Amino acid sequence: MHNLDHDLDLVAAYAEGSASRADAALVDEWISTCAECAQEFESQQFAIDSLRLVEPAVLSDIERARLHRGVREAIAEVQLEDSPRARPAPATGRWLKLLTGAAAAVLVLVVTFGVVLPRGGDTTSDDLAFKTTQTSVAAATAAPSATLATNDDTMMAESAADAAGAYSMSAVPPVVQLGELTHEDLATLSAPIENFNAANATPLDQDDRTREAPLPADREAYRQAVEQPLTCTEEGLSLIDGEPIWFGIATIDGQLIELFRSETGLIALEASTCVLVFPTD
Amino acid sequence: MTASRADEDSRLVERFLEGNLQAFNELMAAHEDRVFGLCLRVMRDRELALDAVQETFITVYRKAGKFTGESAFSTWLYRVATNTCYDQLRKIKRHAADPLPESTDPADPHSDAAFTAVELRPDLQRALATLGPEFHKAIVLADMEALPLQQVAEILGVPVGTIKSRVFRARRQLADALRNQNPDAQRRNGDNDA
Repeated sequence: MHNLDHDLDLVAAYAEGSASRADAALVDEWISTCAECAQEFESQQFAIDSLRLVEPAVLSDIERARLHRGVREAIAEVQLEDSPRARPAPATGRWLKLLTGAAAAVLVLVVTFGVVLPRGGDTTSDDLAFKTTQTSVAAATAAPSATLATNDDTMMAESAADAAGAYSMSAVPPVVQLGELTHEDLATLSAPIENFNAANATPLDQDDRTREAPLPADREAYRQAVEQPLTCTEEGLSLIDGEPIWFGIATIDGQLIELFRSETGLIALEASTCVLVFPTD
Repeated sequence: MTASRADEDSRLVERFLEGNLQAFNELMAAHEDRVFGLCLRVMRDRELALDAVQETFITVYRKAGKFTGESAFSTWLYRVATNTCYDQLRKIKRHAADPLPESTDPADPHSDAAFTAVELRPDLQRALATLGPEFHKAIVLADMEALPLQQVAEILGVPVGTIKSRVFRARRQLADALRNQNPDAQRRNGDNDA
């Protein structure tokens, strides 16, 4: 009998269908003259064929969103742990985080996006608009980091934003990174949006609105104004029930997301892929 | 893994090591499905696989500085993923001790119609479970993930000849296990031998 153990490559290649014509002829000869060789070849081919029937695994949108959220949260923890200025605060850390998340949500709403409400009249969904300038988006995207940061870290971020001419940082508490949201922020933002009123926003007068132009009236206008890659398609937008209203953009860990208001609250999609970022379950 | 993908990975790793988190996100987006596929083959459960993928990318985030660039990033990544998956399997003592559930790899109920549940045939699951860890790793990487043998060898840190041998023997063992479960296959194979 032929010693197959010395010719694993040939037999395997033949079973895989990748053997050269000459090698295939050689293995064919072994198979025709050696029962054990034939059985070995059959085993190889049978296993390969069985395994090739397996479809490639793909993450579902929900799983992908969960994965991204989990990694982001873990990275935020790692960044805090690795920070040389990190101080242990076992008893108050959780509350600090919650409070900071709430503060970030309100401040992001009021200050970062510069919420603009029309003067007088009822506040309807169509009235909602956001003053989101190109420079603020660029600055936020260029400074990915955890939402929580030490004062010194945030001051550095503030300096970078100021250098970019993005916005005045004077009214911003030191623990908030402008334009950078976390999932906690989104969760906190969702409730106030449901009952949106002037108390949540800082109205700007018409002069301010003119001066801060272009004021995005809708998604397409914004996309054209700032040339951001808001490429989420209708299929992606169909994730949202009802008729979603474009709400603005933000970043999470440096990734651009689009925010929509729907009947069920706030929806966030990754701007280029339409993957649902929030809600995740 | 194409050369352009490998080159792009190298650039992204470099940018990430310079502090660009977006580069890390891009690396993850480029490889997460493949890593998930690998972990799913090993863990045999979508939830466990998802946990393993998450742990893999967190490890990559923390230890990217240890990536020397001697191999492709994907090779290093799959090594991290493989080690993570088998470490987790050891921790939960699932691989050897627990019987396979009747229905593994459940479909995500939230997924759309186009999503493939990737359920393995139960007989194939059982046959794969009969393989030892080293054979299992080799056949998952080489035959199910269709990675080149050289890359499998680098991932598992053994000579390529060892991988060839393991894959060959793993297929033989897998075929035997499948035939034992499936009389038709046994008979068909016997007919071919005759």
